[in-house]
Amino acid sequence: MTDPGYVPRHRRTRLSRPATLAVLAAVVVLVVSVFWALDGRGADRHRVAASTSASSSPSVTETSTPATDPVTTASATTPAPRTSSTRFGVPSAAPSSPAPAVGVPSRLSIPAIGVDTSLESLSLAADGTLEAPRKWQEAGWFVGSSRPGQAGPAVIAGHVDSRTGPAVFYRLHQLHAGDRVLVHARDDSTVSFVVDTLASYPKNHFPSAAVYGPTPLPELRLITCAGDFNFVTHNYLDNLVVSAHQA
Amino acid sequence: MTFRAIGCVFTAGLVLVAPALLTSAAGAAPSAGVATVRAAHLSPDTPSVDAYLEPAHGAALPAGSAMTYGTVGSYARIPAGSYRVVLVAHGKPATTRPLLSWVARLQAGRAYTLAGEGVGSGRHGAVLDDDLSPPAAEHARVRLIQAASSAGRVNVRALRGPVLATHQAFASATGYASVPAGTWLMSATGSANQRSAVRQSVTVRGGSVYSVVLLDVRGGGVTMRLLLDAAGASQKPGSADTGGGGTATRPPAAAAPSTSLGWTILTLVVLASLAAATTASRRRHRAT
Repeated sequence: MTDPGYVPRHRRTRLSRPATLAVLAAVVVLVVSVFWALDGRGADRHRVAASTSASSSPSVTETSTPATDPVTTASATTPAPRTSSTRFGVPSAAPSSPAPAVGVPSRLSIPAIGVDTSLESLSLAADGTLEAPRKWQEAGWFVGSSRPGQAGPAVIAGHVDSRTGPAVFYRLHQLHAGDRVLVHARDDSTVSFVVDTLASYPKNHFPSAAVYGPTPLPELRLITCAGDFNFVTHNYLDNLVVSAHQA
Repeated sequence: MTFRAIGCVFTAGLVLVAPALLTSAAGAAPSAGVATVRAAHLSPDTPSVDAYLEPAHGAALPAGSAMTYGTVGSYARIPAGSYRVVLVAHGKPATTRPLLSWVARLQAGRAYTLAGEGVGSGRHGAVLDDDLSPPAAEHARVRLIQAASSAGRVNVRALRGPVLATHQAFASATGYASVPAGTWLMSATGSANQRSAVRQSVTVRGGSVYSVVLLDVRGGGVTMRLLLDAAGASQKPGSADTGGGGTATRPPAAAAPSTSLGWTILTLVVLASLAAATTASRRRHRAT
């Protein structure tokens, strides 16, 4: 007990185990909470991801955006204005005539989440998946899908993040039903879409039929990554799909 | 000491996991209740009509104006539900006695062609289910709508290709047949007399859905029209690898907090318990 070094050492060992662990845990929690508090959108992003990854079954999971906002409600089901004859298209005199020419999409803007990007052209990758845009900050239109404004789904994909930070579709999860999405074509025409739903799916159970399958009217699908990131294969496990119809 | 340490770690773990549990309970939203419909005038002896859809409550929705025989309107979105389809003589108000009316139950997420068809006393309304299921790879799906009264029962097939209809009666439609994408010479023949009614080149794209419509031609004869029911991608790539991971959280810290307020409160709770633990530990040390 006369050894002055003993007591502090003793105190260290007696106190350090729980204290160090606890302090470490607290620091982690604090740092994370400060991060989330400062970056509210991050919470949203992971909320979309989490509801899919939290379900142990691989089945498709409809996820809502922030729970306070009922997704897939009002805007999609807005009753037709009773007096408007534009609700139903003017009957075409020549039903067999092809759809009017619509330009190749060149630019995408989503004011609600600050997206304004030129569009690349995407083909099929060698493994049958959708080719990813070459640039992190640029979205791409799948050339095998409908042109925006033509009957059928037009498919546009963009990265959620690069290797170092947010990419063009980082805030895609923040879209709500009713938000506007504008696609500009090379011929200076613009097609406006209205968001219906956001859903994330495990990549190995991707709903190809729902995303690429036939639709009678012009629709739009925006695709990015979501869910957990596999740091070994450098892949996100889920895809977030935003579905919209032409306004 | 060890117990306390485990307790601390456990508490911290709970703090990380609990919000994820809360979030996962934040349920799925119901899908939108919207159907897609178009009106079609396929009755050769019916004059020009205006079409309306009357919901159970509320005023009638206009579904087509000045539609003559052979007119197929464009698709429109409409809240799913039960409607009365009403065809009135063109220019007459929706409330006048209809030339034809029938009930259509429209389900969300599906597409329909509402057709007035037949002649004379055989005139009736049809609710045709427009199939939106994806065709097989590099294939289209095609059905026949037989609206030519002069052709009677018909056989319709692609030359050296699939059969669309056998012995199909006037004022009826077939189900969808799978047709390889490409251009086909489509022929319709009377099934009784084998006389060729019409022969026409038809191009279908993979991934899309079509109706071939047979119509009377004024003054005699039959014509064939190709209608696009729905368009889809011929090739359907699966998922997309659209992320570099630069904003990903390393597991197991991927848990999602429900609110930052919740985090702050939980953090305070943890800090308080830590303080308590430390104090207790110190006191105990002093005791020894």
